[in-house]
Amino acid sequence: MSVSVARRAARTGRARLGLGLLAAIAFVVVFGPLLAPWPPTAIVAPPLEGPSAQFPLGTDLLGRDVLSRLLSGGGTLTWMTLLATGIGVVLGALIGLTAAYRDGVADTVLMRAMDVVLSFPETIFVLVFVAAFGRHPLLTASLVGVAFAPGVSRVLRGAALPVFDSEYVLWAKANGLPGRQIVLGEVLPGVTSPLMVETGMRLVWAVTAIASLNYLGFGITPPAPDWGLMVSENQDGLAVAPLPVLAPIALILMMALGGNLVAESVARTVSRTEGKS
Amino acid sequence: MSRGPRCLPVLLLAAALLAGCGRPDDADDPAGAGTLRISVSTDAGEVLNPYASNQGPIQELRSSLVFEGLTALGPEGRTEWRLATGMTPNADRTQWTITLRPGVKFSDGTEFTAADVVSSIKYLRDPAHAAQGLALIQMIDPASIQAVDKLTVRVGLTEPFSPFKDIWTSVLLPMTKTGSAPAKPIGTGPFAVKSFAAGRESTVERSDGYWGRKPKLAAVQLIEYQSQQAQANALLSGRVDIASNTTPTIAKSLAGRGGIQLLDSKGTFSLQIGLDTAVAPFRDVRVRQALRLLVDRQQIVSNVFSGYARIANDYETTTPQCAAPNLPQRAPDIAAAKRLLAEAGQSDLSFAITTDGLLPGMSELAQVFAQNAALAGVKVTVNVVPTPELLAKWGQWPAFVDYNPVPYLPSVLGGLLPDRVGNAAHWNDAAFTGLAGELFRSPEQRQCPLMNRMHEIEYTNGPYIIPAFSDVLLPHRAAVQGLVPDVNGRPLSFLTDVTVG
Amino acid sequence: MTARWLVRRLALGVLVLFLVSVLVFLVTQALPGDVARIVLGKDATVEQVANLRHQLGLDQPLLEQYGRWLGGLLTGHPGVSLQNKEPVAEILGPRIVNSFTLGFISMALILPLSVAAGVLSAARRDSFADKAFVAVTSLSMALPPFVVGMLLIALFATTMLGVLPGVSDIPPGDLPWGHPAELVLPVATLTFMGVMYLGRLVRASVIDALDSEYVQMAVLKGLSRRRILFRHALPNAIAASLPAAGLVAAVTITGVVVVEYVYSYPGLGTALVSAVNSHDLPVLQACVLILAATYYLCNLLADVLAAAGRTR
Repeated sequence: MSVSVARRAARTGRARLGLGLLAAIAFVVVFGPLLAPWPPTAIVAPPLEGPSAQFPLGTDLLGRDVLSRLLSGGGTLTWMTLLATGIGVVLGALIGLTAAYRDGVADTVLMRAMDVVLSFPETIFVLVFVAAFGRHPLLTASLVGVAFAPGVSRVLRGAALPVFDSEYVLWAKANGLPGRQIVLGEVLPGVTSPLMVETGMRLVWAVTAIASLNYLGFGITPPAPDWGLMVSENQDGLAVAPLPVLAPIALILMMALGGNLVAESVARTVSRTEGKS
Repeated sequence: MSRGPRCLPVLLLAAALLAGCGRPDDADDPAGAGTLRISVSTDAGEVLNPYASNQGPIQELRSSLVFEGLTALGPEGRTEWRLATGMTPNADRTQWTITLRPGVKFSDGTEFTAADVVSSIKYLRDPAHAAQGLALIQMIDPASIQAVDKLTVRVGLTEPFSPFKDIWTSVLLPMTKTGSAPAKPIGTGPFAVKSFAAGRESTVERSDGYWGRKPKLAAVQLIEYQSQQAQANALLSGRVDIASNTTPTIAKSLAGRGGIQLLDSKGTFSLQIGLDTAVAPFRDVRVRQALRLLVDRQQIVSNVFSGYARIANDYETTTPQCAAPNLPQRAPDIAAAKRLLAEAGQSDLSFAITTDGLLPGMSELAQVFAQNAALAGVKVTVNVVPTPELLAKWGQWPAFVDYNPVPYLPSVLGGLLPDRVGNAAHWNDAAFTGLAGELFRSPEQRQCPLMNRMHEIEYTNGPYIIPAFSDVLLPHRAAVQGLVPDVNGRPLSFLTDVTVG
Repeated sequence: MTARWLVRRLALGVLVLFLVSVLVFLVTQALPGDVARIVLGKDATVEQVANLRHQLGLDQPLLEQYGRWLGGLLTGHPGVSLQNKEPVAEILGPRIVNSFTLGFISMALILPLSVAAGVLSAARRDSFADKAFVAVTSLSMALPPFVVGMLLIALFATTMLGVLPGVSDIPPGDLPWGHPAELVLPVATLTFMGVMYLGRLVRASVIDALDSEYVQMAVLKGLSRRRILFRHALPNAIAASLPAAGLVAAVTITGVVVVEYVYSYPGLGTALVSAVNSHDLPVLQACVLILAATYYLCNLLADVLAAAGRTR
């Protein structure tokens, strides 16, 4: 079912645009570092120079080539986004399905624990922990993932409850099949669609959240090239040299927008499929 | 129902309606005339007590307007008399007699006398108060501070100290009314505190009983912002008249826009890279010398400070009355650096420079240095930590970015002598300490050659890489007239002739 | 949907807040750096630091420290700032007024604007205007809030138009609604982000409602389009969007943190950021608890309204 949904979703015009954007970004992330004319941290000219043949997008605050930093700066954002989404979805799904399976005390405890995390605004959650344990991209990405888990778990618990009431699962429970087998073998395939929608949405949110955190200085540290960090490094010079700020913003936007379009198409296809089934 | 969605226009309409309610205060408010509004960086922990232990730039700025010391620094960096009119030592310079200015009144109208000086010094000297200026006056014997008469104070020292009058120029050592500090400190300065909201805003107004030339401004308002960018925005929108401290890039992008001008104070402010001389590999002077040979000072001036700086030569600032020491300017010499590193057995040296990036240029300096060092195969990483962490492990970082905003004498007393808290590099050079002792015993006319010999030791053995002295930049609205550049980077302490149109 | 259910939810809310406070307390224990050292600065001696630690009660067992703070809170004394010794209530009181003013004005604009935009867009589905709305919302949901703030400031305040103040600091002692010009950009930022999200959801719900068999039936019966839209589709769509509205209210409160920082607005968000930076635990705890409680109540309110809508 999920394969056909994905295929049908990919056929809409919006999804094609989204996939195109994502493919362009993926190309920059993968091959960009090889194409960069200068090392991304090398100081090659006076700061905030305008575009020239030598430096097509000008130089940044410290006199580094903006194009080279752009081409080399997508990797961190990408892996941090994927990691955060992965943690959020896996953890959220695990908790949501467990809560749905073990109704009663375990359900209440798990979902209230999720409420605790949920009532922490995400930015503040990350801010407090990063202040405590230091700045590290791995930590920041994991924290964003943990902050996502409650939202995912609520959705999946809601989606899984009707599946657990299905006759097959009731039968399996009555016949003493192990819980793990029921959850993984029967319930998980039943909630693929909401899982896919959630994954898509969280991917988009992760891009903006992680770009913001890198911008605020809570992720990757200088001099490493990173799109979010580039915005904050160069925003002091926005009025004199807009390119070092606007170019990374454009790439972040492309990444999030591409993800968003794809996620929306999937969600739309899923709701249509389910509406008709 | 024939119209399409009008989400954005509706939003803009709402915004316009709200905006239409009127723009209060700001540039064209006549009541604002005579009030100078200055933006500063937020300091949530600020207090009014000028003796507090951990003062940020805003607190020092306010102190310089509200309080006065016995002496003060002029904008050219020379010591001038202020609340004192003379200081005379005994023969071996272990006791100083201070003559006070007559007719000085505190802002509450009461008279300033010798008793206030005695109580102020005693408060400062008491270690229990953890006053930030304590390091500067540790040579004072707390048991022998006494008022001789209404305008004479005698201060006994535990060791000879001849540059006594220069010490009192520090903004950390002002005189307050007896019993008023720390809760409600009262000073003799040209302004007095009118309102104070910690971390947000404070206003000082002209003190009518001021003994000296009265300022032309009726009041000064200090408004706090959390980022440099916000300060620039406040200046551009006319919310403030002066942005108190700004990055070279912002200064460059502001200058000329909306008639904004730039006051450029060329002086002795420096960012420096400290190397812990108590631990390997920096214990080895050859390593320190090699690292100093790697610095591309010209690049630091042009790329870190956008040209608003001049190159320095690894020794601290000189005093205005002395000629600079005759030492060759260090320039990048990769081969010599590599040779020194090989001799020290550190050919594949790698280390991290820690900084909290508190001041503009700190993290940038470390990044440029890392690039410079890479040319010799030295691997330097930049470790940006939050300010609390930097302070918590102060004295334990092997390499760190530090800054020095003060003249030479307090630099020596605060950070270059052994066992001082400010000496995070744990530098302990017997020859240097000996010369400093000699300096403290010598009369004024013999101090210049001594200081130059001390600079020479800093140049060869010192713990700091001092690549440049950077300018203090003050963008301001054209309506602000009469600002003076200050060699010590505190132009806002000189507001007497400033007007705002 | 009974009073008992509501009481239970409220009690759970109190429990959640308690756990949040424990979590914040534990995390701050791991913060690097001794608060006393941060307050006193690098020039203070070891004895001075030890003295201050004792004064602040930081040398006592963790459980006792927490118990003392909780006891104070329950008796209405949330403590004093470690930094400048001012009472937390005095520091945060005016900031609560500022933040909530910002949040309420934004919500008051977000709700009607979202419904209007969503309904209009859905009513003319697949028209150019509808497609434009969908495209704009997709694009803006991909925009990080700091970018929105930065661009709005450059556009309206500093670089292009210069018609609005680029900073929104409300002088201490003044009430925010006395400075309407300063409120425009922060409110516009929050409203923009909110409408883009909620308006899109409303549009989807209205479309769902219009597609439902019930409405199809009404069309067949010959009811007017306007009547169908306002009598049938709209109430259903609003009921379906209510939980999302609660989420938007919550997100608006969270958004306050970033937006306040960008515009230097003196609210809870800016206080929180500086409390984290200076490890000022009492201020930090109070900020987090206020924000968390508001967040919880918004979600609860949305649930109550949704339940009320269902029973009707």
